[in-house]
Amino acid sequence: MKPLTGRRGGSSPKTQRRWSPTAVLLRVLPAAALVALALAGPWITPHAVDEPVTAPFAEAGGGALLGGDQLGRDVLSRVLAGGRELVLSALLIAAVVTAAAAVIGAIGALRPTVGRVVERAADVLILLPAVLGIMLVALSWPGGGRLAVAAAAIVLGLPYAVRLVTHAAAPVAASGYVEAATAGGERLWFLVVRDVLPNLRATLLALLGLRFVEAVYVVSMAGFLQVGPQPPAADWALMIRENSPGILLNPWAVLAPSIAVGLLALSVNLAAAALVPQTGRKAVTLL
Amino acid sequence: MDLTRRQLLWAGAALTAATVLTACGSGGDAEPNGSADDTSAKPRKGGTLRVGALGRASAVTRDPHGTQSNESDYLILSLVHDALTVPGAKPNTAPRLAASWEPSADLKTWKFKLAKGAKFHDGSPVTAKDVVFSLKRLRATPAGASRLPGIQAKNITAQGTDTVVLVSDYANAELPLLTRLTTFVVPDGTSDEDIAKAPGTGPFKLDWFRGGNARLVRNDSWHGGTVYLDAIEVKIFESPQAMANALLAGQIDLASNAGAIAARTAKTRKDIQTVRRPNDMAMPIVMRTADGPFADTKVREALRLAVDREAMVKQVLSGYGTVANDILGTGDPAYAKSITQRTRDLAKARQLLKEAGFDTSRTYELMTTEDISGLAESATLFATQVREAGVKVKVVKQESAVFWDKTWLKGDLYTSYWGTNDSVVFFASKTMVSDSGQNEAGWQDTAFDTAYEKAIGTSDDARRTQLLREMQQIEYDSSGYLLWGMADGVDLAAAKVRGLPTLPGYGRVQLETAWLTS
Repeated sequence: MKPLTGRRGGSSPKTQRRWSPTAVLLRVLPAAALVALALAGPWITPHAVDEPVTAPFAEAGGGALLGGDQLGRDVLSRVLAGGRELVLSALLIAAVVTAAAAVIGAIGALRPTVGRVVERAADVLILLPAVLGIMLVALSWPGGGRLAVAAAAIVLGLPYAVRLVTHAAAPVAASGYVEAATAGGERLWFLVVRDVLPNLRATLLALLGLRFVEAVYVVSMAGFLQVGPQPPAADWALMIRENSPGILLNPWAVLAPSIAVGLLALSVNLAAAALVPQTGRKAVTLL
Repeated sequence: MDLTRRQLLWAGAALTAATVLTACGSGGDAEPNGSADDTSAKPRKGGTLRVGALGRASAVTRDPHGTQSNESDYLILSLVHDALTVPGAKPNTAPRLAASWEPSADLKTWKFKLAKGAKFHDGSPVTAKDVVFSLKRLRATPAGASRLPGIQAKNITAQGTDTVVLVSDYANAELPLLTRLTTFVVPDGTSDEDIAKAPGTGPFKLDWFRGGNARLVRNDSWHGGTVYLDAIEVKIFESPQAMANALLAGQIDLASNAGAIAARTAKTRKDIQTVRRPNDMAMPIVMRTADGPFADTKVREALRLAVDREAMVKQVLSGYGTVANDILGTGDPAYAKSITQRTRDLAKARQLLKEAGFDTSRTYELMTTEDISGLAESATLFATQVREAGVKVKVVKQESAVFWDKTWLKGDLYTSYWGTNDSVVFFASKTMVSDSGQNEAGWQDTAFDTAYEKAIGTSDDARRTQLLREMQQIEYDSSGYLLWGMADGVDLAAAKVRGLPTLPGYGRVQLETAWLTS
């Protein structure tokens, strides 16, 4: 049994805007470069990240291209080193949330009773502010560090994602071939993996991008509130907080990590939008 | 946690980011662009001084004998109420409500004679009875025993109307020094409910008070001398940054304890003067001596040799401080400058660690808090520095409450801070003699105890100096303290403010001498 047509024939070629491979590449490149730079950053720092090389909050110049931070450590080196864990935890959170939401959402669409329960639960959880959730997890799990933040972000990000997938999967679940497969006695797991999810590729990819951006924000916020990474770790969000008293002395100590977080979120969003298969746009617009 | 300590601390628990306490090398007086020490001009009466002080509205206290963890509270209380004595330059104890004092030959009985003409704000004269009531009330606070050490409540008595007699359990030549802190005097019989409204005897009267902000007006009949300002308005700030911004914008005239970063930020402004008060705060690293990995004296000496003091002062305090020599009490006239300054010696540190059989494969945790700014930074830099001597240290930042509860007095390795005093004996009595209530390092040394007892029990100056020198040598050699430097207190003020305090620690609240040019 091959799940196909139903969705595909739905949209007419005219309404679709196809990007050329070059355009897609141009949109993906910044994100890829930035993520690669963040991942490789710790190996290419000009100075050690924890040793003072200049005066505290020294202006840019001399040995330090972006000046010094609160202890006179090289801002450039710390910015280069400070993104890897943020990117990795955001990737992890985005992947887990998307995968879990895909499965739960598909089941919800196929089994209306389960679906209603899941949706109601999601509706309630969506109302919980992310900051509150993170503080709760961090306080009840002292020393959890990044793991605690990731766990909180996954739990808090899931409801919204589940709701989105359930809605996207509803028309698929109602389609003829799924009904036929159900009548043929296929098991739920088979329906989810073989029939429903492959039709949601576009939605899930878009979701992955969105969750990544969201995860970047949540992890940065946790870092800023100091419930995630601890000093002396180099971390963009932590840098923004630690160096804010000296913003007038060396603005780069705060600006550089802020720009890095912003650029990362922007570029990944752009890339995700470009990568979404055009054929699946309708599944998204249905929402 | 112990209330005394909190109260004695330079700044309260959650002033965290607050105190960007940092300090300068030589300081003391205003920097060149300042004019606070312009002595040519004659003090002028009049004007309102608007002062910014750090604090949190949630921690506000109106009780002069309570725990003052807010700068703003301490400032208001010490302008409204007088303590028996106040910090001075030389000697370091100056008279205030007590005009003079005299010990008995055995240094156990001290008679404080009250200042003539001292009156409460309501006009009633201050009598010995009021002082006895106030001191007993202070003694009855949770931290009373360390606020008035060695003096039981029953041994505080009045003699006539103007003399208060304190009888110490042991000979104590330093008793007047201890009365500098919070011996605020209120009228006899003031009930706890009325304490916030109780009249004081200080240079200013309370006009109004709203959640940490207050207006104080001049007390024209103050016994202590001429007060120039018409009024002082105190405004509470949660962060030094906000306070410094208010100063730059002209909303306040004085930012008390704004810190080095604020001072550096304001440097370009010609109309802002910077006042540096040297020896303001100690931020030692405490190594537990009673047990644990740092119990061996050689290990402690190795760590003292592994730290780069100059770099600490430069990086942590932005240079607004001075290098210290592991002896607390740097502002004491009896501070032993003759003891060799310890400098970095990594080879010797490694050798000592080896001799002591120190386990260098382990990672040791250094506990710290963000109570005052620079504290966590000092821990971070320390960890980086001792790594070069082969000691692996991981910095663990704790919530203020957890830190004072779980780590302070108990931890193997942690940061501490004292922003109150400048005397060797003060620190010895509080934190180093074997039975002291706040023995941060669990240090016990019989030779030190003996020298301390003799020092506070002798009135002969030369002998005392010698004994104090002996105490400091022992402290230098084997105590649990690694004191790498002293932070300056840094105040920022508008150009028109004159006569600002330059003394460290509690000296900073002595604003009665301030005046404004037109």
